[in-house]
Amino acid sequence: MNNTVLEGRGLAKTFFGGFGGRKSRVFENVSIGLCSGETLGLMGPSGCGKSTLARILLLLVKPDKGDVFFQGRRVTGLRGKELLLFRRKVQFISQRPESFFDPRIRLGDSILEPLSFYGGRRKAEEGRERLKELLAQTKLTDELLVRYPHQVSGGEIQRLSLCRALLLKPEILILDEPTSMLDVSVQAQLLRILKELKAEHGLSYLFITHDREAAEFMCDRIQVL
Amino acid sequence: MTEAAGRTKSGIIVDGLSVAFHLPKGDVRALDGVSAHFPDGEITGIIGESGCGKSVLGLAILGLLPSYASAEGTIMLEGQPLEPGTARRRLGRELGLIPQNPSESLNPSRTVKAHIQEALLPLKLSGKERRERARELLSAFGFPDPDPILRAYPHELSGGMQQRVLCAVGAACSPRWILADEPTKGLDKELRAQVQETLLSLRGQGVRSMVVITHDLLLARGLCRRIAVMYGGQILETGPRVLDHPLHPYSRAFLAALPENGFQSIPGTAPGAGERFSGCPFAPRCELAKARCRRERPAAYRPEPERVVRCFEYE
Repeated sequence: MNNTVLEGRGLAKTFFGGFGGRKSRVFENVSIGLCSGETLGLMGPSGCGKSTLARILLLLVKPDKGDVFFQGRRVTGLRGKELLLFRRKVQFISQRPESFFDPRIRLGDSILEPLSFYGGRRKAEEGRERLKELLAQTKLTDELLVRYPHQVSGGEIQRLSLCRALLLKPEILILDEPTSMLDVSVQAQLLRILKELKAEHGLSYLFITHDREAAEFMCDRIQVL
Repeated sequence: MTEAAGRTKSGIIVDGLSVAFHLPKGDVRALDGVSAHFPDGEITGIIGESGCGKSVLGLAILGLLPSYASAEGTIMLEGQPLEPGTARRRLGRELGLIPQNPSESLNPSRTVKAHIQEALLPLKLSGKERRERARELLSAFGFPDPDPILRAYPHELSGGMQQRVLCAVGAACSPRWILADEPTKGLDKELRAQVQETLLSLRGQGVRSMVVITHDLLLARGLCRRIAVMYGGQILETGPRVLDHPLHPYSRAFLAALPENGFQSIPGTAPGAGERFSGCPFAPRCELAKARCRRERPAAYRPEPERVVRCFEYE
C-alpha cells in the first residue's frame, strides 16, 4: 500500500534463555503494514508474540530476520540522532503504564522529561502550556501533576502516559493492550478518548489487544498473529 | 439492625462495616457502613470500579487488614462473630483465599510443591500424605501429569497455570468458603474462560460457597447467582439478576460501559480514595440526582424480592 507509514517485512525472532538455554521461537516471517490515519488491530492469544512484534517496530528489540520501514525508509539498526527522531514520531503506550513512571518523581516532571531530549529547557516551558491542553483533552485536571504515580488510579495514569506521548507530537502510537488492566467503565472512557485524540492529532494507531470487542470498536483493519 | 443482619443466620453477614486506613497524611475511609449478606451454598460476586473498596471488604472478612487499619461494625460467619484474630485462625480450613495477580502472589523462589505443602500444614498430614494430596489437588485443577508441575517454579508456568496453582493452594484444606480476588485481571479471553471453569470445579473440592471480587462482568455473569455492586466504599445494590436487570443508576451506567452496549462511559470521575459523602456517593455523576441525593444517604429499599437498592428512586 503506498501510504504505509510503518512496516515490518519478513520479521523473525527467537529468544534464548531460561533453564538450560532453551530456544523459544516467537514468530517467523511476519509482515505488517500500518497505513497513515488508520487504526490497525493486532490480535492473538497470550504469548503469540504481539508485544515482541511491537518492540521490534519500536526498534527496542532487534529482529533475527527482516526489516522495519518508517515512511518508506529502512530504519532497522538506526542510531544516534536519527533514532531519537524516529522515537519522537513513533510513541508507545504500555499495558502497565505505572512501570513507565519513576515512583520517586512527581507525575508532572516525568511527563515533561522527554521534551528535554528534544530542545532543552525552552521546549519544556512550551510543553507546560501544551500539557494543559492535553490534560483537558484527556479529561484530567492539572492537580494530578503534583502527585506521585502510586497516588493516581489505573485509568488516570494511563491517560497521563497518553499526555506524555502526545507532548512529543508523534505520528504513530503503538498501544500495547492499553485497557486490559482497567475496569469496563474506565476502559470505555479511555477508548473514546483515544478515538477523539486520533481525529484531533491526525494519528495512526497500532492497537494490540486480545479483546475482540475492543478491536472491533477501535480498528479499521485487524491482523491476527 | 440493618437489612443484612435481619435475615437468616447462614452464610457471612456484614453489618455496618466501616474501615479506615490511618496514613501519615490523615485517615482514609475505604468502607463506609457496608452491610451485606453472602448466603451459604451460593457464589456471590462483588463488582465495582477499581478503588471502590471491593478488596478491602474481602480482606476485612478474612481478618487480613493491615495493622494501620481500623474497622467498626460486625462480620458474622454462620452466626459466630468473625474477629480479626479468629478469622485468621479459620484461614485455610474454613476460609480460603485466592489472591489477585497470580504472578505476584506466588513466591518466585519456591516451587509449586512448596506452596501447596505449606497450604496443607493445618491438616497435620504426614509427608507422604501431603505429597499425595498435592498431586490430587493439581490433577483436580486440570494438570493431568502433576509431577513436573510440582517441581516447577512460578515463572515456568503460564498465567492460566499460575492461576490454577493458586486455586489449588486456596482449596488445599477444602475450606467451606473461598474468597477469590480479581481472579481474571489482565488475562485474555481464553484464560478467563479457563479460570471460570477452575472456580466452578472448586465446588467439587468441598467448597460450598464463594465470594468473587471482580470487575470482569462476564465472569460475574457466568459464575454468580447473586451480585453486590460497590461504589465509593458502599454497597449500592445487591440481589440476583443484577446484571440482567440493574436497578440502581450506577449499576445501569456500569453495565452500559460493556462492549455489547457500545462502550458508553460514565460521565465525571470516580471518587478519590477515602472521599466521604453525606448523601449517595454516585450523586455527583448521576443524571437522575436531586438535591436530596447529595444531602441524605438513601436507605436500603426492597423493590423486588431479594433485591436491595440504595436509591431514592425506589422509596
